[in-house]
Amino acid sequence: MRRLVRGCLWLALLGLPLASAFGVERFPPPEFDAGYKMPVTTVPAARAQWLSYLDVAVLVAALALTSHLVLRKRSRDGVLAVSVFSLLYFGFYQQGCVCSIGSVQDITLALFNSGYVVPLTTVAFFLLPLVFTLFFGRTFCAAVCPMGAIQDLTLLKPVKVPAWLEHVLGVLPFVYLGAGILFAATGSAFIICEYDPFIALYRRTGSFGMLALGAAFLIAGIFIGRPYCRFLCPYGALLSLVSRYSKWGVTLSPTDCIHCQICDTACPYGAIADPTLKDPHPDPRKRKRRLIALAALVPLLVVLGGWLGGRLGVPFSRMHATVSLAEQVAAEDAGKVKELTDASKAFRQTGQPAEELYAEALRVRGRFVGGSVWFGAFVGLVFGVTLISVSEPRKQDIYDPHPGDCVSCGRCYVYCPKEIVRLKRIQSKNVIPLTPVRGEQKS
Amino acid sequence: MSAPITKPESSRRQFFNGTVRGAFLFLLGAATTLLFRRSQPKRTVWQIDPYKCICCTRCATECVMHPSAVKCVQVYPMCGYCKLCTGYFEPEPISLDTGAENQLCPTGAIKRRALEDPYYEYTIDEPLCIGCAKCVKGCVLFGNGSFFLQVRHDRCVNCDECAIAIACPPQAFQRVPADKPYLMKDREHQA
Amino acid sequence: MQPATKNSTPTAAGHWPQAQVRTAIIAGAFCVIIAALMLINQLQSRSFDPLTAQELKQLKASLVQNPTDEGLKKQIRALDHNLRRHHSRHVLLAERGGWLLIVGASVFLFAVQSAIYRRKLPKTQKLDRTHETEDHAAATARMGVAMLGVMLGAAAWALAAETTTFIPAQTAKAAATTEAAAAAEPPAPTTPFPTPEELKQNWPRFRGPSGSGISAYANVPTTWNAKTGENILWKVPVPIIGPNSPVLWGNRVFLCGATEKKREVYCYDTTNGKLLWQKQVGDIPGTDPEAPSVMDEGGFAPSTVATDGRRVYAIFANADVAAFDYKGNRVWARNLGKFDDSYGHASSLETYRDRLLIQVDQGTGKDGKSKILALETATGNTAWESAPRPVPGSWSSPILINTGKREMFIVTAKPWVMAYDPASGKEIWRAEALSGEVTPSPVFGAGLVFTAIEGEKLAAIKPDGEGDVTKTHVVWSAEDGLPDVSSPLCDGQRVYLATSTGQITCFEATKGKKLWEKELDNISFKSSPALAGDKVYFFSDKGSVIVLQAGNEYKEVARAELGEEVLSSPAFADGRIYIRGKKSLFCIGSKK
Repeated sequence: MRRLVRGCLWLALLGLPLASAFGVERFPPPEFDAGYKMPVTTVPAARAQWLSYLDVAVLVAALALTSHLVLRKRSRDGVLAVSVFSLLYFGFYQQGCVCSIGSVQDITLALFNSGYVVPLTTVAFFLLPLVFTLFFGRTFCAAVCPMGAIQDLTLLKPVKVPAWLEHVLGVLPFVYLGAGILFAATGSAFIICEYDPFIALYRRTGSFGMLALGAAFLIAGIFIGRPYCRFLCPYGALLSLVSRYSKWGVTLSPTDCIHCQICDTACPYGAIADPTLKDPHPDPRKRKRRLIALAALVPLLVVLGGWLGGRLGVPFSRMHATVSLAEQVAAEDAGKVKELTDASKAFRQTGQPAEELYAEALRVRGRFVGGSVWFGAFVGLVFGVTLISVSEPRKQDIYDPHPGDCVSCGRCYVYCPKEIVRLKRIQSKNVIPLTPVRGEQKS
Repeated sequence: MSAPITKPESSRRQFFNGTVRGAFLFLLGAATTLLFRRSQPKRTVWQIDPYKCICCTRCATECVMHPSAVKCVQVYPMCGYCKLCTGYFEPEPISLDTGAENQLCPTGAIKRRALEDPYYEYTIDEPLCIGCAKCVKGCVLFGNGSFFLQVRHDRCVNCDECAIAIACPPQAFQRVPADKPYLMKDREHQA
Repeated sequence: MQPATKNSTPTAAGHWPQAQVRTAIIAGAFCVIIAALMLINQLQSRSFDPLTAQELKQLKASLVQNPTDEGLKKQIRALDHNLRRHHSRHVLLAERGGWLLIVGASVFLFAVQSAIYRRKLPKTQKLDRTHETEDHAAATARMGVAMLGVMLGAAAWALAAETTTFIPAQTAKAAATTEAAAAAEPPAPTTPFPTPEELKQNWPRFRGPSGSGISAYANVPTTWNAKTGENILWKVPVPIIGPNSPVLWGNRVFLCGATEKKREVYCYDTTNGKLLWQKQVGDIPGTDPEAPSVMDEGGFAPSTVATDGRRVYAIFANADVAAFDYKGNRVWARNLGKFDDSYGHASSLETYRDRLLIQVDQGTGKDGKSKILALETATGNTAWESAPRPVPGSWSSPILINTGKREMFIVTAKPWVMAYDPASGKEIWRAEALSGEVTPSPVFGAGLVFTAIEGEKLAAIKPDGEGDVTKTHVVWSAEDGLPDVSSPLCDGQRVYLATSTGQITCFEATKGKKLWEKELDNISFKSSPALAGDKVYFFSDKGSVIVLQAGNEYKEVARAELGEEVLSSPAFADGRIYIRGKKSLFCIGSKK
């Protein structure tokens, strides 16, 4: 009998609408006699504010130290040591967040959405490596970035990626950057963070997929130098752009290159650019014609990309919570799906009219279509410029690191025979003037 | 040890690079000014608004941490100290004891302790809790709602973008100031 | 990680030192085993996931059918125990396995890296580079890039073609309105504080610009009907009742409310009355957890918020001051220290450029607790603090006026009307004109500052003096129809007073001649009158509004009922009146 009554009570209660059940005090808390000490709910504090300032300080120190080691000491060992430190501090201790790579999205969101307040620390993580790169080349990639560090340290048996493939895959970081910016600007998702392969390793936990992706990248990275940095990293794409115009950067011995190509073999990242051939091209007119044709192709590719991108607005917009909810609600209303999702149930409980949701979703989609046009045009531009740069490589006289591709790891210092001699002489006698010998060159 | 070796560049290229560098610097400066207006020194962290939570169990499954950084908390002043705790017991419990067949919590993380009759104290053994919100649902639906989920900041790694926040159906996750990182329920709330 | 010692360098090319090789092999094998174990663990843990334990669910369901089946109970307990044991073991294994793998991988890497440290490179000279080979390489690369482009393009095309959408494209009305609302959203201001013109177009504080109660817009309705909904554009409930008044900026309405325990600020959308956000001020260090003593009528949030188009500022009876941005994020908050005020601090806020001015009058007047505080609007830091004021608690709201020559901050309390320089907090002049518990706020009009309080007088003070101007600058005074709560209104030629006994009195502004007075039955005024165009609006406590023609005679234009009690003062916008009733916020305007 008692059970029956209780069962009825349950049934009656189950009939209550959920919304009205929130925050209801059904059973007045009891007044206890003396002697009962009510426990206090613990509230473990978040990471202290000063620690995030410490992160910035460590970042600056690591950037400065690495730049010093790469450009003044020219010490591969030093860079290696900083890599280990960065891996431990920014990787395993700080567990990846906030990182410069992901900060691109915070910055984008803050620029596009005035309501999003970005912490100063994040701004610092975004700007400082860029500023350092502008002056010293990609020293951030060399040893400060924990993603770079882990790949640099796990590279054991480098295999050369064919030059043509390197060019092809080199397009991807820019596409990824564009997509990351598009999704961040529309407030849909931080895809760069979501598919960060190594962060799950730093946290030593994560979904199976992410852990597997991390492991796959690491194993690939044993043979292919820095696969993420070279063929995906969107921040690396930014840095490589900036680094092309840096004030200083990794360059090999200032005395004459003997064209031994050891540096090229030593560089696991395919960053040593070949010197321009001395003898004139047999068919300069053909070459010129091709260049003109490619240059004319660029605007075409931009337009084509923009057009294709615009068509992607609708599918892309589904990444946005509002649009996907609106799609779900609309599909339910149209009888296309039977099963209600938690989100659509929660929405229906708010009592907000579906039209408002649709209108909001259409607005978001409108933003997406606009953004996707820009994204597509950008991708078209990247393809166009890549085609030109492939056909018309940078002019130079010696084997020297390409300022955009070189991640300043310093491996070539160790192997360049001229550099070895130079460094030895400096160490022993300190007599060689260090002014650039080849500063003056014909254009 | 030595001055950085200047890149061997032609003066024309040097000039061009210098110009582009200047442009980059200008851009960065402009971005900085804009960003500083939209930034704040204080960090924010993620927290779940317990009044929006619909107890969907995604907190247990979506978090990048395994087990989740979201766990159930008990706010004692709100608790009714019920003998039949609907957060602790299965609906229609066979008997009001700690037998596994009666418990709602899949990991047995809630501890039940008899106080003066007829009151019982319910505490959460946090290391065991996986944030599935089963107890929360029971307590919110039929009790005072003193059980609810909170992001525990000793465990949360504060991802730039919270994986649960994206998946949360009622969008109950929000960024809160790091020095006030909890959104606790209280007895006065009228929402 | 750089064992640059001699013994680790290879003796012959291609031959790794034995020790490192052995270490690497062992560590590598260890890693592989651990990784495999963790993989198995991961796969296994799925079947022991406490969240999706199907078997347990089924058993529990069948137990509901046979509640007395002891065997079933035992089975459930055993299964539950087993599940939990496995679950915690998996969690532990994953945790420890992670560490072991890291240690193993580190050893492995260290061994291999030290073995290959500065190894001799194989001689792989490139073939002779000629223009032909270069061109060929470039052509291959171009082909590859083109292929990638085609692949990406095809993928994009397929994705776009495959996507279907169910969202109806033409939800015309809703789209149009939200579009309009979105368009109407003011662009984020770029200056730290608004211009006087911006302030004039909005209703930034208690009684609007300068606290004058004068609307910049004349096109507002004079009649409405709460029952039929005539001219009521929307009516929405306010979560916590209170007497503070709405303020307006652009398409936002701001209010606040408080109970003993919590303090909230509300932001509504003017277009539809939607509560855009409701934010708790939350805990502020230094706030006395004990609620202040307050009057029932005033409650815990008697002061009206102020806004400068950048942020909205609120002060509460417990001395909490907070600033929220227009998205509802708390920008700053501080507690001014518990007020010595048994009725509850009630003075409303005012902004001056990038300063928030607060009248903090409390105590007895002899204890030096009263002062004016100016906070930086962006940070809440104190910008200046006036010298201690020789006055006890006051419940009136200060006003910021511009005499044409300079700006002054007029603050009233018993017995002094005092003018301060709003930039520095230096006193400019003071006049003795008040007594009792000062609640009506001053107004400025016709070049004079008017103050009035029941039991003392209505005083008209010329604000161009310095020091004590009681004897020299009080141009006229009168003692008829003095208000107790409601503040005076000056339309430029006349001054209007309304009392809680239902009397409205009108004086000529410059000389003080009484023009008319009117006793209204069963009516009481606590709300302060307001002027829109040539109409004066008086809201009564019971929710009636009496609209008079501004003029030298009493002329009633219209009367209307709100259907809710009113203690707050109205806010005016283009074609609209916003008024807070006891429970609701009303938007009155023509529906066309």
